[in-house]
Amino acid sequence: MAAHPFGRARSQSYAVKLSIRTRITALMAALGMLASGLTGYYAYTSSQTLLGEATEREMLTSTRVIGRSFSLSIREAVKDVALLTELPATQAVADLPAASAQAPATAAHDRLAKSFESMLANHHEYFQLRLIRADHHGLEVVRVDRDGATLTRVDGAALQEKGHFSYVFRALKLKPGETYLSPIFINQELGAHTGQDQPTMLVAQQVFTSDGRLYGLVIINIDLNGLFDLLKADLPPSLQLYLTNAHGDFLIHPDPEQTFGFQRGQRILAQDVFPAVANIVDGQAEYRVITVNDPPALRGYPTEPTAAVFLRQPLGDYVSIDRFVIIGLSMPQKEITRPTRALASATLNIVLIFSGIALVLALWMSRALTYPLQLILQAVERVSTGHDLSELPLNRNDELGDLARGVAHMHTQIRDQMVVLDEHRRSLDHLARHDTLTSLPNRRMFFDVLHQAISRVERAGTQLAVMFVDLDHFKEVNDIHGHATGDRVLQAAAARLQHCVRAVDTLARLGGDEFIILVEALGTREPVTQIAQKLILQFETPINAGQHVIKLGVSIGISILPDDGTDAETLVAHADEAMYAAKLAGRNGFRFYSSTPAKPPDPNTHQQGN
Amino acid sequence: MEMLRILTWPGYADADLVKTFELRHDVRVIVTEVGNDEILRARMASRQGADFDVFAANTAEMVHYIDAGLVLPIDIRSIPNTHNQHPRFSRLSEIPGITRDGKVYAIPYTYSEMGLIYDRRQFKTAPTSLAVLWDPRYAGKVLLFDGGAHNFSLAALSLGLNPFRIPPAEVKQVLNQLLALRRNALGFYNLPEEATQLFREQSAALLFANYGSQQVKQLRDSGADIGYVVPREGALAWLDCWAISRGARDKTLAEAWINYTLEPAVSRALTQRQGLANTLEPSDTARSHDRLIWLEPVENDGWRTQLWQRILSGEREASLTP
Repeated sequence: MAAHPFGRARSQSYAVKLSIRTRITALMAALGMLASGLTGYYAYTSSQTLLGEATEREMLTSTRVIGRSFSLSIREAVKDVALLTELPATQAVADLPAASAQAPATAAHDRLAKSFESMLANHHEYFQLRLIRADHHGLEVVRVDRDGATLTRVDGAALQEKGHFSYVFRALKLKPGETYLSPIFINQELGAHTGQDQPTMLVAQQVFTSDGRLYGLVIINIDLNGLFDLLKADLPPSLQLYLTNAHGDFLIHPDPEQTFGFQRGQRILAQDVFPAVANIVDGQAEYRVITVNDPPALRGYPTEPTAAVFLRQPLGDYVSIDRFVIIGLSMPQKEITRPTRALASATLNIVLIFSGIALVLALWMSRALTYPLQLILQAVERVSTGHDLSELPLNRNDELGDLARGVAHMHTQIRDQMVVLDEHRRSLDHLARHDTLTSLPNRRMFFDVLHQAISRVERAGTQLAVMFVDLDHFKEVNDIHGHATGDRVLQAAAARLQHCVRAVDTLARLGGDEFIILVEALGTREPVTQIAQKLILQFETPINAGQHVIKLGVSIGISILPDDGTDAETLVAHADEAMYAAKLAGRNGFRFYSSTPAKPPDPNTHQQGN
Repeated sequence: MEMLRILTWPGYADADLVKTFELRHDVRVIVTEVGNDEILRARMASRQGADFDVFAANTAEMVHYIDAGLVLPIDIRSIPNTHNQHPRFSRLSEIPGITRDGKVYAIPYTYSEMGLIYDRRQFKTAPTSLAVLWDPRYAGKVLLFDGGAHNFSLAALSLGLNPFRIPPAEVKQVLNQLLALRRNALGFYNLPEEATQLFREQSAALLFANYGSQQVKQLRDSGADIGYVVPREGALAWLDCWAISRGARDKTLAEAWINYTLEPAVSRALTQRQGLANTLEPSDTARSHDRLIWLEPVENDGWRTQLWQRILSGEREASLTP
């Protein structure tokens, strides 16, 4: 089976070609995507970090602002309590004779109550204003409460004894000029109207009689709800506000259940949720930035990773158990990084676009690289299938141009060498089928021709003749005149023989002095006889071989197909036999095999011609 | 493997002690801890006690569980370690709230009495009677607990009344006694830390130790020179007992647990680790002959609390009516 010589190579070359192209595309595209992806990722993470830091700074600033505003509110309350302490109306009540302590309210009491009322009317951040006696178990003397939208003066039997509250017994121990600031607590005193069960902080100063005795205290209950709301008002909803006392007990918390636990016999401490708050509580740090990645389950808040800032806010130079509060702001980390989500999608888009561009560029580039290669490959394939070179990218100035020119040059060289080789092959072929001395077909070629002629003749139903020609006495020529002369004689004999046969007939040299002739397309034996006679006649003339003139005769044996055999070997053998018969009959004659007896023939009966 | 489900208070069933019990009985023990009586009630009520085998509650609470039928009677013979208990605790019928109709429903485990802490520098001899809380010599120097039920009991006790059942006729008297107590007081505290701080800072002379020995330790640790006494009228005391849930899967195993906690090693661990008195040996604070008045449900908790809030707020006789 004749496989295409390039069949396998072609499929391989396609595979290589595809894979080179794919690989180049993939590599280029991957490089492009990797570069844009890494750039995008780096930009995203670093902006996230920057954003986180910026948010923490902002939160710290916000806590400072809140803290300062908290302190300022307290300072205002202290100014107000000082104002009330020094009111002539206050002094008038303090200077009332002792007997009137339990007596019904006097004009002095009423005047002071009016002052309290006007102060409360102007200061919505206060729940309650009171004048409390140092004796009589801290009995309230004048008291005005905020009661919803109105103000209620508490009087007579409704006045309460407050001596057992720490804000009273502590404030009564102040030194002159000092101000007492209570811790922040939920006011659970019954009858406190709006202020009841609300977070509050008390500011107290002492009141003295004109003769310098301690009379009691003026106390302002600050409405911390109002204050807290004010603090929260400017905060974005994503920020959570915390406030703790100096021990870390929550006072403001996103979950109101977590506040003022200490008043229910339970401590709910900021440091349990935000451990670093402990550093602020024990005075080691002024503020702490805290990241809670793993919120403790115990308090239910925060429920998600959160960043927080806690700051110690001193309350001022007052007498207080809690000299400071701790203000905290927290923000879920996902809120902090929310702006980076837009950035992330923008970055992702850029990465995708650049990846797309990288892919297109990679495709274009790999095509630009492999197209000339493909051209060269096609050209080489055409050459291999016997065609001429097709178009090659010979004009390129790069390595591919070099390759194309190399291929073209190689093609020229191969073509030239093929021409030479062809020549060689043809001459070798001629040598193999011809006799070198006479240039006549040799035995091998003769038999090839004979075989073909036999099949032709058999199909056509005609005849052919094989004439075996032998030079008489040629041995002597060689012996007497030498081989060179013999060769010349043979060449001359060949020329004479050639002269006698028709163009369609085949003359060959079998070897030595033996020649053979194939005569085709015979109807009768007549042409053969004519040829034989013509041959014999030809050799009547002596042959000029250099300085020798040599007279030679020929003996000719003839076999006829189909009478004398149907195969080449038999025909030649029978022609040979007939030739011997002719020789025996006296040389220089011819004889048909069919006329030759089985025994050595009688030369007289068989000789033809002369 | 069999399982024992315990519902109890922090420190009553430490992991190492539980482990020993598990190995000894080849069972698995699951401990659920609670922080207050309300949660304990809710846990026990949720599936009629089917979630737990054994639990711990005080004597006043135990009355509720017996009333609700959430506890099983205990066969005292299956808890032989009760023989090791101080006679105060082995005479079960003398402890109110844990027996009924001759059946035992709870076994005492730990207790704390609310005695009086006094400043040794201000008392030449230890006070002996609750009356000292009303003594004008110590006006503004007495620290009390901000708790309605206990303060009513205290006032009733000082008047020789049943602290848990104040007859209507005596209410006015008790209220006046409470007003007098308030007027004699320095202040009222909620947390032990608060009490310690006030006691030291305000140079208090007397302190009603609502948290018992815990406060004695805290004050001594803070450097206060104090004494502790159970007044002759007796000291209110809570007594936590083990009881077996109606839903117990294996009553024998539950009894084995109770018996185990009364082993000297286990009961002593409670004292050493938690500072709580055990029932096997006398405590550091209450002497054997001291009268301890185990808490019982009061006649009306809400009423006491509400009135107490009014007293605490500073109301006077004129407005204070029951």
